[in-house]
Amino acid sequence: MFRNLIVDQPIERLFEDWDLLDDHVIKKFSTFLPMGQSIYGIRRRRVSSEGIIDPKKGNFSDRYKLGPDGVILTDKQELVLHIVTSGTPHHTAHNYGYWHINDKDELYLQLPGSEGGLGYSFTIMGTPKTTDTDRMVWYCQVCRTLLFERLLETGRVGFHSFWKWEEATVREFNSDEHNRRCPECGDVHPLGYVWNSAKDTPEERLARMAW
Amino acid sequence: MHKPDLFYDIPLKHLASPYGGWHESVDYFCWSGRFDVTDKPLTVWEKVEGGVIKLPDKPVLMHIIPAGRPHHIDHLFGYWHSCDADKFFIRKVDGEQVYYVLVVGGTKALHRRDTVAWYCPQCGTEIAHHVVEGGAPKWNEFLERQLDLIRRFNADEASRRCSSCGFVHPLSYGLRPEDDWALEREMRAIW
Repeated sequence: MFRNLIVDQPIERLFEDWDLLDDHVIKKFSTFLPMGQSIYGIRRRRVSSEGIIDPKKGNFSDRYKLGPDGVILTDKQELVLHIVTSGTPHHTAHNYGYWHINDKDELYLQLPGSEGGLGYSFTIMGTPKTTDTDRMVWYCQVCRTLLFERLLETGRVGFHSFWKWEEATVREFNSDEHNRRCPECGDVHPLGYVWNSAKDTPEERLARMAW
Repeated sequence: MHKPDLFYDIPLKHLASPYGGWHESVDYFCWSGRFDVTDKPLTVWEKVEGGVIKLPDKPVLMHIIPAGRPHHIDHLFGYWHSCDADKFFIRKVDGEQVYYVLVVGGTKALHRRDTVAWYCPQCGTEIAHHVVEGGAPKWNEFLERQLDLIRRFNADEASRRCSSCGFVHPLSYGLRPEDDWALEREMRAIW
C-alpha cells in the first residue's frame, strides 16, 4: 500500500546489517553481541526434529532447569520459542558445565535449515541494567546441595567481562576437589567446563562428554 | 504457595490459529504466527527520512527494529507503531508453512511509551499521531487504547483524509485479530 513512498535506495545503504542472518552479518553474532536493548547470539547448527547438533560439541539437546520440585529436563526442539525466566538456574548438557542464573530472561529458538543444510540457533537476552547480575553455580548431582557459587555484577561491569569471568570461575571450581565435594553426602562433582570448547583442558573435555 | 514459572515453551508448529498470540515473560512480549506459504506475507515497512523502506520477504530473515522507529507490519496491525523498546522480527519459510516471531523489549524499564500513527499512502504526510503513555507495565491498556484509536480513525472519513493531497486512508485494524469487527477483518486481509 505504501509503494509510492519507498525510498529509492538499496536497503543495505540505509540499514547496515538489516538482516542478521545474512552470511556476511551472522558471523558477528557467533559469540554474543550487544545491540540496542538486547544481546544476540546466533549460530549455524544442524537443527532437526532429532535435536540440535553443534559441529564441535555434538548433540546438546538436553536442557535442565532447577526449581522447587527439583531438576526438570526438557529437550531443544526446532521451531519452539523457549524462554528461560530470569532467576531460573539452567544448564545445557555438553554446552557449558555449570548452572547459569541470569537476572534477564533468555530466549532460545532453533530454526531448521533449507534442504538439510545448517539451521539457525538463537540465544537472546536483554542487556543487563545496572543492578543485574550473572551467577555460576554448581549443585551436588546427588542431593542438590549448593557446592560453589560466584556472582558477576554484569550490569555494572558490562557484558564484555562475562567470558573471562566464566573461564576464571570454572578454573577456580576445578582447582580444588574441596570445592566439588558435597558437605552433605560426600559425592564429588565432575569438573566444570566453559561455553567455548576451544578453551577446554583435556580433563575438561572429558567432563564435557560426561555431563 | 505460588511456584515460579521456570520457563515457557511456545511451539510455533502447534499454534492454535495462524495469528497465534501474545505471550509475556519478565523482560519481553512475544508474538508468534504460522501461515501457509501461499498466504500474503507479513511484510515489514519502516519509516525513514524521505519515505519508507519495505523489507524483502526473504525465506529466512531476522531484523531488529530499533526503539523509536515507526513501522508497520502488513496484516498484523493497521497503523505505524513505534515505542521506546527494541523489537526483533523473524521470518522463516519451512516447507508449506511460514513462521513469524515478533519480540518486543529486552529491558521493560525502558519501555514507557507507544505511538500510533497513520501516514498518507500517496504522499507520506502524517494524517494522525497519538502518544500512549504507560509502555510495558501497561501493555494490556495499550492493547485496548490502540483499538479505541483505530475505531475512532475508522469512524470518521474526515479523520482519514490527507490534508495535503486529499487521499482517504483505508480503514485500519488493531493488533489482535480476535478483536476485529467485520470491516476490520476485511482490511487486515488487504493491507
